[in-house]
Amino acid sequence: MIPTHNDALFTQLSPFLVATADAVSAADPAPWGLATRWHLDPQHMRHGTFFELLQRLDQLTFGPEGMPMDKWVFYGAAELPGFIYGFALDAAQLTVYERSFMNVPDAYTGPVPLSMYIAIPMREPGAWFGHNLASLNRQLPERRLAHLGSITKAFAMKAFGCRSFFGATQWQSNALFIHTKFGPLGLATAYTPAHSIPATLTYTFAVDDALLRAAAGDPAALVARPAPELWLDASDIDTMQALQGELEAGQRLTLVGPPMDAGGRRRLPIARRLPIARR
Amino acid sequence: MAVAPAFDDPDSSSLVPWIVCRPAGRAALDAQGAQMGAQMGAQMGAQMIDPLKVASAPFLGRLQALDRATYGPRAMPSWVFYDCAVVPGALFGLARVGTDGLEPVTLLGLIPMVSRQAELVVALCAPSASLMRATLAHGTAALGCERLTLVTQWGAPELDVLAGFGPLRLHTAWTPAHDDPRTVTCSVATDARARARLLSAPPPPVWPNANDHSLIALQASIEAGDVIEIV
Repeated sequence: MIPTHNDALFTQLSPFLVATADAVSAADPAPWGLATRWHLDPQHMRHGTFFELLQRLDQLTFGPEGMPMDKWVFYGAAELPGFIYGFALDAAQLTVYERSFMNVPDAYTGPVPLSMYIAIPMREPGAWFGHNLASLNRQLPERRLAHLGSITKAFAMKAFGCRSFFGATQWQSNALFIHTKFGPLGLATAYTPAHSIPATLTYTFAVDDALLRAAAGDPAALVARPAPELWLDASDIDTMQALQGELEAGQRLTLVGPPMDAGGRRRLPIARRLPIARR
Repeated sequence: MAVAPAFDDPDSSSLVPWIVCRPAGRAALDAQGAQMGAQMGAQMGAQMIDPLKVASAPFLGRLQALDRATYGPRAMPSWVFYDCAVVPGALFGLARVGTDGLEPVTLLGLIPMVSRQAELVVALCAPSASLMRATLAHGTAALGCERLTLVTQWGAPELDVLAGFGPLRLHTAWTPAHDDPRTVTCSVATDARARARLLSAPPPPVWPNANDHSLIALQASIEAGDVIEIV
């Protein structure tokens, strides 16, 4: 095992993988030596309650932001083409409050998910698109689940051998604090009218083991970051559109670090260059 | 403007093909096509649309309107359309050339699956069975897809059309992971021979009894390892 930001997580939580039999065979069963405890096939009837609990986890995470997933989206745009990797604990380990909070049926005795990461394959071999990262870190503070989101994403990407990675999120999203732990992010879009929220960026990066270990919290793994050339205000649509114009004209742009909040504003560091190459 | 291919179907003779795919995805598509010796989209004269450009937004909006008109409450929300179809996969369809540009009439959205043995249909929209056949046949050719997986509900008309490719292999007959457990997951070969068969408009197959008890029994049989095909 690698050291992480929160090794104590592994004393109470174990990994699960939701994927079809074909997809399971493509996954590393023990990324960095951490064995996956539960495999749940979305095409088998007996796991129905677990899929209800995944939807509950999604609702608790994204409900207030207005992008929760229906079960058909889980099945048709996550479990069937790709995978869901996350951390869970046995229902018997939950408190009475936690069982109620998660809507766990009284008779249920299986795993209860506290985090999940969803990715689906892209047309290019080795490329994946991540479209959901959920964690109950903030909702269950007494569990001390700090860094559960970034650890979940790092182990998930390791399990499926991602070589290049895409994602889309909003410039205002707190998720960027997690995504930027994986190093500088190349921008594919800076303003995205095809998305429900046009103030969305599409980002990409070449994945290597050091980046994943750094995001998980291994102090031996370091990430080089270029200096920013400009700071984008997360509510500045005009600048997003101007940056999008630069991208479409062939300019390379990189989000080089996490958001910075000050004076009631959120700003994001941008460089007009590629991330530093790795060997 | 691209020249329309001579589709055999009379309904599609005035329509032009289009493809939505990121440039990097298109490069992967071309490499795959070269390997297969397939007639890819560009050779077909399809209009190529880069979804990462702002100028593509109006056309993508029309595609979403087509998806909403087809699927109603199960239409893809915009973020799902972007995250789970447009960016990871590729879309093909037929369109009329209007005064404001292309007006999409049909849509086939495909995304890869982990096994890389099949592609998953995330959208299939067409106003008639004949146009659905044309879209499936030419779309699978243009996108280099030799096996499709489809998720839909028993009794859906697209199952009859899809069965025109050949035997449908059932992966689920009863699907509690979906909002509607009466959901079927099936796959079918879509190679050149299958496409030719589809375009000949063969009669639909005889479907199994679709009451809940029989579907659950069928699902149990699949989970036990039985290979079940609708022929």
